[in-house]
Amino acid sequence: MTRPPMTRSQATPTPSTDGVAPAVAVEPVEAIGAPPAAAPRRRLLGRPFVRRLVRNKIAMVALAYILFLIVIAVIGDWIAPYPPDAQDPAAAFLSPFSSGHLLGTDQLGRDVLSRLIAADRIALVAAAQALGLSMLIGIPPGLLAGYVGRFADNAVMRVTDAVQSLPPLIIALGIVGALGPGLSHAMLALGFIFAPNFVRITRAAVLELREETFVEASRSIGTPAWQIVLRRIVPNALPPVLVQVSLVAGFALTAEASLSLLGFGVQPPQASWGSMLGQGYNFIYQQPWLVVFPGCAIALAVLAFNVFGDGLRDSIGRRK
Amino acid sequence: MGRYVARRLLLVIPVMLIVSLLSFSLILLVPGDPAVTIAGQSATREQIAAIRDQLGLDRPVVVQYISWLGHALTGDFGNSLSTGQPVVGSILDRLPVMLSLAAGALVIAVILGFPAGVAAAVRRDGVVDRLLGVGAATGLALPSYFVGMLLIILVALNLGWLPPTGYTPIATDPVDWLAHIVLPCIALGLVPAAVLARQLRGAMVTALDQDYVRTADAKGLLRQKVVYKHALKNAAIAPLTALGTQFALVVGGSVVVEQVFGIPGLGALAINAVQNRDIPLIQGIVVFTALMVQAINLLVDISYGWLNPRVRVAVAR
Amino acid sequence: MSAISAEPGQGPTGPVLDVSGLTVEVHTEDVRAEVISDVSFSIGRGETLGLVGESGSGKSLTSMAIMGLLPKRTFTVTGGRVSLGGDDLTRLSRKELASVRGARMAMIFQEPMTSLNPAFTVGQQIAETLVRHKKVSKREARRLAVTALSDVGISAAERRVQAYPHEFSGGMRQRVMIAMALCCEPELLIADEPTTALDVTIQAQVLDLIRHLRETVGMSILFVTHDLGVVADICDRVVVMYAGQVVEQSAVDRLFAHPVHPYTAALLRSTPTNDAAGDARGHLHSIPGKPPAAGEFPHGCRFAHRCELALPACSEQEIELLPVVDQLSRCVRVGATAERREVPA
Repeated sequence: MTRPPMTRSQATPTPSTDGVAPAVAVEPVEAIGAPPAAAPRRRLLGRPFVRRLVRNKIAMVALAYILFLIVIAVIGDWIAPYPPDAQDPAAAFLSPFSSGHLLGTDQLGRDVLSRLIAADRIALVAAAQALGLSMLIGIPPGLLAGYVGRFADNAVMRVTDAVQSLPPLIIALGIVGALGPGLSHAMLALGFIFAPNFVRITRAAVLELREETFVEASRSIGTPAWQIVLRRIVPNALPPVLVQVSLVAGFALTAEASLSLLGFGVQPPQASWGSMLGQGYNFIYQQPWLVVFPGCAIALAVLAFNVFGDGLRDSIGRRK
Repeated sequence: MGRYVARRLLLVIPVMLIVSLLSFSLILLVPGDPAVTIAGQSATREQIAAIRDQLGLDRPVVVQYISWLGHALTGDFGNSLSTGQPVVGSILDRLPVMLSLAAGALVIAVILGFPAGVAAAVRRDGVVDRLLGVGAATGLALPSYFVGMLLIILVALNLGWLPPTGYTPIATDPVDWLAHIVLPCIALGLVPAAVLARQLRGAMVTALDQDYVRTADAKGLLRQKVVYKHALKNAAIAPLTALGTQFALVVGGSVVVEQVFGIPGLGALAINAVQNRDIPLIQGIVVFTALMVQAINLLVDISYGWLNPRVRVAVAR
Repeated sequence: MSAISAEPGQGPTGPVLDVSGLTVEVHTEDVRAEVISDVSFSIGRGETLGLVGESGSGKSLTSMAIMGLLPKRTFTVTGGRVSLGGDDLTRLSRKELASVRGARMAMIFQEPMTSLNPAFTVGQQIAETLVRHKKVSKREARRLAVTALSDVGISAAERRVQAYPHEFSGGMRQRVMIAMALCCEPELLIADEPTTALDVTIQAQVLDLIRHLRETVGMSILFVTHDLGVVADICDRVVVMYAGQVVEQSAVDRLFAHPVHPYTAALLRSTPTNDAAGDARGHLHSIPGKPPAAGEFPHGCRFAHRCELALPACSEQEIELLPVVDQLSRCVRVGATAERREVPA
């Protein structure tokens, strides 16, 4: 959607507290004196960035949880107490902490914990697919718009605005409606929906870096544009993109869960947390716990991605 | 101010044009022969031909688009393939419900988010601020439909305070309408509330650091006045305009929340359409929601222009 | 003005502002340090006192401390007293202090571009001060605001009162700030580098305005600046600060003719004047080194490591601020300073 053409009425901050800080602060002056060969911003990917991130305890906890989810996705088959599809009609609707079923069973007597574990892999793979696609669709136009500017920039931003102005789920329903239900179709839709995030962030990073001295220097000695983009701009644009990756992963998880809940994503007998939620809802009177666990699984995963993404963003830090 | 509005209106056109293109191209996404796929597995040759005819699928794509666009501009999106009713009519029928949900959610967002954001900023790094940080993070992570289900379990099933599902139009019984709409609006409104609170906190912290706040203090104004009059007036602009963004997300989220609460709104219509591969209906819904979002964003941008003295005054002079 | 000495003028009710032993500490996450040490001075009725020093000397912090505007999260007043017209400000509650600010003492700041709230008209901002302190109706306040604007030389005040800050230039905004500060007729005006951010011609206009208003109203002014030219222009007496301490206090012509602290002398030498830029050889002097940061104040004299006259004794124990005839000095080598000074043309 379009933002108003005027700038907002915010003045430059910094009260002059004499004696403790400089009386007048100016806009951050980048190390203009730095030799062009050593891209000054490369430090962002180097030690200080990582050190700051590691010191952020909450972000580290979030990262640990994400890694935990990945590990579960890999070894899930071996550690699940039951096969996720094993039905046991006699033991249907068991509550949590019943004998043999830590989180209870569903309407067909299938063990909830095992199904949650199996769904973990599906959720993560789906999120990765959506992410990968959206980066594939989004980053190149962002690079183009930022570097080339003018007409290309305008065109790309118009389309991005249009796509972002649509409610994400509506787009997804439209695409799935045309293509037909199915996890891969749903992920295609999500890839398209989240691409604008990457277009914007890449474009912003390129715009900022384009005026940097080291790029000027490369340009002045005649380095071809694509080389400049690949070797200089991309590594320095990486941190904000990483932040976006973490955040979009969270969005993708939620979106996939919504679609699966409605029956348009994952198809039975496969299960994702979203479809478990959708199915469980039908039996909310008999066994409310069927709804609680998948929902918490989604929420915790999204929380972890959000918190880690925030931590990434904080440790990159703009030099203000 | 008038010129600002006019200019802003013009911006809607290219966006809607692109949206119409995207919308139309949905038919192109249908795998295989669209008429066959849409008609379904047990369709007869006559049914397939009827669909092909109705959607004009044997014409060149460009012609199809122009014809579709032409009809769309007059408000004709064709008839639903499942009900045979005009698409626009079906959509308009469901509109009031969706609007009450979306508006209610945003109201909840403001009621919860604004005070929280201000309180957190005023005592920066204090207890309230930390709590808000945690609360906002949680609010953002909880899917709205999950919150809805939890609310149903807790409030409706366990406590019995409110009905779990269903909907009553406001004209029939306002009290009942309210009783049915409160829970879904809370479920939908939590995420926008979290976003709003965070944004407002950030904006307030920046505003409170500004020189003009120091001047207001120096003039001897009471702290309350400084915070709520001087700082807030400047800080509130950005979060308020963010409500426009949130509207789009709320519309999307309402689709699932309607299912959870059994509310017959636009979302339910959309889901039906997808299940039946009802392309004209889907196209209509896509264009329609886009139009609504554009309208809300237009309103938001206009009110921003009015609130920001630089715009209001500069354009007028 | 020639009769004014280093001692404050004793008007009928005593000095307007009396600061004695003011000490302020700053505390951030890692550091806790004194930024202002034992600062004392007075301002008499109708007097203009210059508070001079370079960045980091603590002069702005002092003025903020007097107004009670230092954020409590980072600063604590650990000692001393500030009294306005006899009332001890350090003993007042927050609400009481808020009633004093704006009404009996007012402050104008360095950055006119950002010191006014962009979301309200200048009329609204002036009027709200009047409503707050003078208990007038909104309509009456509006009328008084128009008068205030024309008093500071803004033409077409009736129309301009409805304008927003961004419609004014820097110099005009500073006039608005002055109007806002003086509209409640305070006893004391604190001006924290009000002309530093303006260009020279506007600077002169604003100073003229301040002088004119001072004469009309008979108000006392604490003028904080690093610009000695401005000091010569508008101040009656001068207090020189360095590294959080007062190092000299003199009447203005005595300061220029007969500085009694090496730092003042060095400042004077490093200020380009019309006829003699620098010394006879045309070199522009600057003081070598830089002032110590808070928390790193050296023992003994804080200027010693940059001082030409320094002796080992200077760094051994704390130096007191002592009278030298009609001036105050924190230097044990005052006699030597007197010999070393240069008289600027």
